[in-house]
Amino acid sequence: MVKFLSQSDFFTQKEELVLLPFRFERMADGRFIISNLLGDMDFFTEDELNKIVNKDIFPGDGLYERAFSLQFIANAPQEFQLQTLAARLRSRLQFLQTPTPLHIFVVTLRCEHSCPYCQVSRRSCDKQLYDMPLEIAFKGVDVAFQTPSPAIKIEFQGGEPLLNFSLIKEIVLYSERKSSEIKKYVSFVMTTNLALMDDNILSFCKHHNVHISTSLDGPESLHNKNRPRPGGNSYQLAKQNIQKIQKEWGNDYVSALMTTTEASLSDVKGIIDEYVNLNLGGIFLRPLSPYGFAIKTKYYKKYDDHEWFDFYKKGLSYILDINKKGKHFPEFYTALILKRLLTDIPTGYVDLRSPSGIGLGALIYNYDGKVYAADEGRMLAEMGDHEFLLGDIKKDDYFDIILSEKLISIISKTLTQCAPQCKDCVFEPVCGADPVYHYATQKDVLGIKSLSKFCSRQKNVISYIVNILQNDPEDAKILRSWIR
Amino acid sequence: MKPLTLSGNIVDFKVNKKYQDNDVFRVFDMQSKHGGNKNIYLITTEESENLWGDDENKVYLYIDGLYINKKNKNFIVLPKSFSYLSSGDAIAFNFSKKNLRVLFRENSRHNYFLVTENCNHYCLMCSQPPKNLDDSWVLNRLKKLIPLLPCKTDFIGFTGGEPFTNVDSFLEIISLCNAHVQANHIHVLSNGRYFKDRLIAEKLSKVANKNLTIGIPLYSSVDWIHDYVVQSKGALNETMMGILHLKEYGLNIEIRVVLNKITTERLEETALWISKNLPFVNHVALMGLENTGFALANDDVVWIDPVEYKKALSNSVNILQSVGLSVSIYNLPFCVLDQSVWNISRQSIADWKNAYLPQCETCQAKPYCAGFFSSGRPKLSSGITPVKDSKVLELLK
Repeated sequence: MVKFLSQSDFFTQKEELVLLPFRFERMADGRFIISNLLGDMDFFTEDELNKIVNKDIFPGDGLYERAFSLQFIANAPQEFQLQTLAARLRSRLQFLQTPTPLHIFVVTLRCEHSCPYCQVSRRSCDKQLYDMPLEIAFKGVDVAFQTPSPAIKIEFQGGEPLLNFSLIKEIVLYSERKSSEIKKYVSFVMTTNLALMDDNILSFCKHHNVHISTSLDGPESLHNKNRPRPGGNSYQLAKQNIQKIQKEWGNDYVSALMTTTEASLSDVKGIIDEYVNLNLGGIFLRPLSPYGFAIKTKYYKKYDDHEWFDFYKKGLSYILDINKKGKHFPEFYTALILKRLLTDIPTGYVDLRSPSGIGLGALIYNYDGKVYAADEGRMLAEMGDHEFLLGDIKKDDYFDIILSEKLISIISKTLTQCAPQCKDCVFEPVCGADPVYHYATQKDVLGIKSLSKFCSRQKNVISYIVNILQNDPEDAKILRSWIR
Repeated sequence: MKPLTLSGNIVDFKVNKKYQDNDVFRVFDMQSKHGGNKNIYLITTEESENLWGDDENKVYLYIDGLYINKKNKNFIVLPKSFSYLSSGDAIAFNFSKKNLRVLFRENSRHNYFLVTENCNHYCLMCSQPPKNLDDSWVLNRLKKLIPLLPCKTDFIGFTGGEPFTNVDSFLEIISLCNAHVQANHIHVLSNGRYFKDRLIAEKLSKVANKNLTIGIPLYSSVDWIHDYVVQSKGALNETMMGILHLKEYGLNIEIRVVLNKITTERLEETALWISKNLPFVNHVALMGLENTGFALANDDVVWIDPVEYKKALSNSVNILQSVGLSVSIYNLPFCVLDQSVWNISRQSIADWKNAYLPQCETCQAKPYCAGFFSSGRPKLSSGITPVKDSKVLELLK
């Protein structure tokens, strides 16, 4: 007769039990979130946390199983958990192997809109001084193609890029030639308000696969209030051109970004409906950033982070309802966080990285040839602050820029893995350094995190998402469908 | 439906040559006289009537291409239960013991070859309980078999015991497969523990082609639970180290979770853990329990009515799929599954595994349903009901 051993014959002995690195944080309701080295996290009571810390847990008590599964504890003689965590950490940091995939060209600083929250400090149309010259553009492309990344993306920014579309054409054609010469894949995206879109431009974009990213703040009255232009028809032109691109080219080639202003706060549903009705693939409920005119016009200070968080929560719940009716419609910031929470796929989003995505994730070539570490860096420069100026295209190559003392110093100062307050934060594996934000608000790239709105927003949003994942199976199912 | 008879006794035979026991022969039609050694010819009904008279209870084979007449003939007579044999099949004969085993059937898309009955696991629900004896002759028989397989064979499976028990001999078999057969899929069911030694994973990667997948059972994210199910302390650690090493050498990996009372208790936790720690595997198979072998002896610990884990199973599938994993469910009928996972429920590719019950006759989903095992002593779920929703049926087509 065969003999089988019982469960207890396989129990880990107490002296074999070791703690692996984990972090924890008390939530408002008294529960604790505990997270392992890589951001696998769940809620526990204080009593449960104490039991784990004291190794006062036993196979079969339920707590042992949860803690083991989340890799808070291990069986000391066994190495598989450490090896698994190490392999996953390598995946998460894989973006370091392909530095600088994104290259942003500010082809002009001129703009025909006069948005009071403008983050880039546009100039009026008549000053030819603010267009990028051709030789600077070509040198920028040469630098972009020097990056080790096997695929690069070139983004056209402004001002309003369509005011200098002839230069964009030259850059695209030149890049395509370089791409086939040195076998580096290149793709294009243009950030435009679409007001000056015409058939010739659209035809060129379609032929050369230049994707379109535009601005849409919500319903007509809100959009036009936020985004004034001569004629007061920003909304009408944006909508009509979005639909035209979708019809003549396809829904995937145009996306839109919204900026939350004080006027947006009361109408999150109206804003979301606008995106749904226009068949845009999702929405990014983006708070205003403290750069450019947004500071000068005091727009940035008009609402605080709690008001934005309420706006976000209302929006997310409305978006979940839309998804429940069968429409796939993600909130993109939530989707970014979810990807960090549920997978080890290295993120392309520069603000959610450590080491920071500045320079390593993106370089910005300003119209005058100056190279910045981040889009927001050149916005600060327009306000007279050159903290993020890395070099000049007229004399520097990629390696001068990326190995500059300035960049290395900023990046090494801001690593969340060892930065004060970040290194102990339960959300560290899911978060990022964002030195530009902290410099803009605190004049210090590291910043005091307890004073940081970036930090409080991250804590709010991430714990909110984790709570849904753990406690609301129906909503969790929808959230999971957003990560792919 | 009864499983096919794969082994049995020879009714009568006469062979002139001396054959060793376990020599392997390939079946050909009378028409396609290939000649050559190790070929036997299947005599079709019509021809057998002419040559042997009308005896419905026997199947006739003849061997080595000699003339057939009633006086001077080499022949093998088998019971009628072997009448399914057809061209391309392979049979091992033990003339000394007057018995045979059918090793390969061309008409089956599910040819699994047993490599050894030795195993370093002793799973509570093992359908093929391991034996601790020297069965290296099985490997030798496989070495004779592989070169006789049709050169275009879609699927070759290896099972055990633990096929990698005798690593070097088994790696020879894999090399033989690659030399003689253009298989689309070679599937090896292994617990992966031998690959805790990185060198063995490296050795395998040197003989393996892209068509090879190692199917590895994984029952829990918690050490003692997995170890208890497979009855071996330290098993989860070695299996996980094995999986990491196999991945390091770029080998294809399938994770198999057998759904029993123990594994389903924390199924969603296991799924979440797989989705986070093993998102790189090529396939996750969630498999209904086959009520045979040790599962009968351990009925009280392993049996659970599948309707009890219906919700946990569909949630687990959702968790696994959300990170891009390819997931399949095997061995469970539609009526015990949540409709959201019907599209990944697979009919077993073993042609004898999809059996049905009398009440299934009125079920409209039957043509697509995985049905029940015909082996062992099937235990039936309380959830078995014919499906009569035409809207849902549209989805299946």
